[in-house]
Amino acid sequence: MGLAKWHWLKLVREWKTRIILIAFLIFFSSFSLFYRQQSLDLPLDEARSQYEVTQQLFHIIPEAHFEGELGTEVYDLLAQQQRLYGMQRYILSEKEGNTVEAMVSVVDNYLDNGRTIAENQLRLWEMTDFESYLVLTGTLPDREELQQELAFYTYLDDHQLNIEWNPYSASQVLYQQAELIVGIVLFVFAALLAADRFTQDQKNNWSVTQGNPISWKKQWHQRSAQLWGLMWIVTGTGMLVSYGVSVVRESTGSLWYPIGVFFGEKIEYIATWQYIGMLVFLGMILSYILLLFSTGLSWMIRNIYLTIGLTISVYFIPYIWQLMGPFSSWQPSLYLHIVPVVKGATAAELGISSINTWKIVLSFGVCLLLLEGIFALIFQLIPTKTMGLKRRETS
Amino acid sequence: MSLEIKGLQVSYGERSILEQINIQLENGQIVGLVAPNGTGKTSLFNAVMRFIPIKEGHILIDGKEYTSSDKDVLELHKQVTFFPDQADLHENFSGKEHIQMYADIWKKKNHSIEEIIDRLQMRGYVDRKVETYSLGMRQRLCFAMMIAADTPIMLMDEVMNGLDPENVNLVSETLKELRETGKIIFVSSHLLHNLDEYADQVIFLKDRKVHFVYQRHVKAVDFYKVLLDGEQQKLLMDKWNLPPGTIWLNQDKLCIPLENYSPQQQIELFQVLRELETESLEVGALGTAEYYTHLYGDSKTTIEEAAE
Repeated sequence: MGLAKWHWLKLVREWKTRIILIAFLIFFSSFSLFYRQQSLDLPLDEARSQYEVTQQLFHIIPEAHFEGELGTEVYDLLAQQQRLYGMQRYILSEKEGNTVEAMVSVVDNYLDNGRTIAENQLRLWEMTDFESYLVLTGTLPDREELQQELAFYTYLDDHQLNIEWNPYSASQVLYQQAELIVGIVLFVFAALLAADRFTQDQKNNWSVTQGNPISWKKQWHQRSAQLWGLMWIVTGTGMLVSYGVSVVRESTGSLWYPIGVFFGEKIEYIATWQYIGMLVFLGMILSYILLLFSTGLSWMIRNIYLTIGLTISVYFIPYIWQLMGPFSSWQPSLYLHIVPVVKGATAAELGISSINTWKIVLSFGVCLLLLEGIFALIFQLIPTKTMGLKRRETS
Repeated sequence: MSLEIKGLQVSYGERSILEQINIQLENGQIVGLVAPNGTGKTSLFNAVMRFIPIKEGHILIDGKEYTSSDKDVLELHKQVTFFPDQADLHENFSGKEHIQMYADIWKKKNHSIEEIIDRLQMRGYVDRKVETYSLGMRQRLCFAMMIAADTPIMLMDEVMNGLDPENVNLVSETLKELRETGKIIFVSSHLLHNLDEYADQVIFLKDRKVHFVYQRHVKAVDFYKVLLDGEQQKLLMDKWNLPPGTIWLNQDKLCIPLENYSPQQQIELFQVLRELETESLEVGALGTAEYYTHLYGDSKTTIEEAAE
């Protein structure tokens, strides 16, 4: 074990580290309690609005256009849509918690209704010969969106799942928590944990820790890996506790419930557990990169506040590309916000469909290589006790 | 094992600290390094360890040069350890953990840890956290860590700091034992008389250079070393023509070389000195402390200078 064992002991005996870990453990563990206090919108307004829009279409489209075979079909479809929206609206308005009061028998219909609505809308998109086609389609979601909706319903059918009525169910809260963790929280956690990893030694234990026959690079990897282990023990434990609390207080939900992931061409649905696993996996890689960065900076600049600031500021790099537009979809910094990339929001915002989930791992690999290269150069400098870093001169 | 420092030059910015330092040491040697504060002792150790940039010069161990490349520096650190500063110890580690840590890092066998603890009489406190230690306890711990690292070359900066006389003796004896195992030990210390107990040679730094090397095992000129006040010195000079090479140290200590005197003349001078009822009279070669005062203190080497 050599020096790694002693780095570990120093780490776990440090009060700062302990306090940060406990704070994050409490935060992650109690997530399901905090999440309950959020207000969540059900698609009731949307159902109401669609009901009214359909009603309006009957008034706007001239009656003559509803004549003939095609016109009659459109009329019937719109009539069916209005009836279905009405039913959806009723189901949602009666929804209380996890049940629909006095309408238990129609709950299952919500799923079928949804599928039929989407199928009808796609059918309406196909009726290009309809005289008020533009008016008709102007109120419809676009085709891709409808295809996704259908894929969603198909996934539910295939896995014999129902609509998840309870947004506070354990599985729903767990995936929301995973999304939160791999965002800014990850950057803050890594920055706070690693910002003084080397600084402590260089300020308080200089002569004891210099002159060891173990390279700085190896020590950098050791220390970052140890922090990474602690970070994910705490995160994993916190998520499990939070999940347990949700299970006790609410319904379990289904870990097979579909969540859409953007793979470049289209959104595909994967199970909640797969989605959480993917986010955690990507978060683990990103957190290791951040810990390497922060630990390396702590060796280099020996200022805890500056190191924390710089590490957290990495989170804001992707916003630069929203302002000035990226040069290429291969820029690693585009992938620092995992959730928007996975959901396809980044691709949509920047108008580059090649910013997709597959590239996240590749871009993280590039980040790792860059960090390795940069810090290999930095570690060639001498961390002198009083004068900061010095270049080793010729001899 | 040999350590050679060739043409070493160190500067902090424009300020030159060490110039043309040439030192060659063979195994089984304790070398004292002596100079007033701020004259480059620690800088010399730091330069050898490559803790600071070297402007010019070479560091060779067993004839192999260790350059500033990462690989060479790591190899160098396997061979050479630097004495930790007692203020730099990990406060929430025990003494034993510190010793174990150095043994682990330098991959030395664990069985010697207990021996080191007993040898340095640390058993009573070694399991306590360092934050409870006195200065002397910490200093002994730093020394124990060096022994645990067990490198062939040890740079011991201010090794006797904060030690009481008993522990100074303990560390001195342990240094001698380490020398017997073939190590090269570089010791900087301000306990000059103590250095004479174990050092094989003492290097004096002055004006950024190695000014003088006191070879303790080379037969040196004997002196009468006598404490005289101004009146007594005047009487002595009236009665005796002091030879060239006589040294006045701090105005009241007179060192009279005996190399050109016959045994009869030495006895006569001795009688003259006794008649002056001197406070102290010793016979022997100059020691590290006398050289130190001679080189850095208020020292005169001619009667005219002394008379001023």
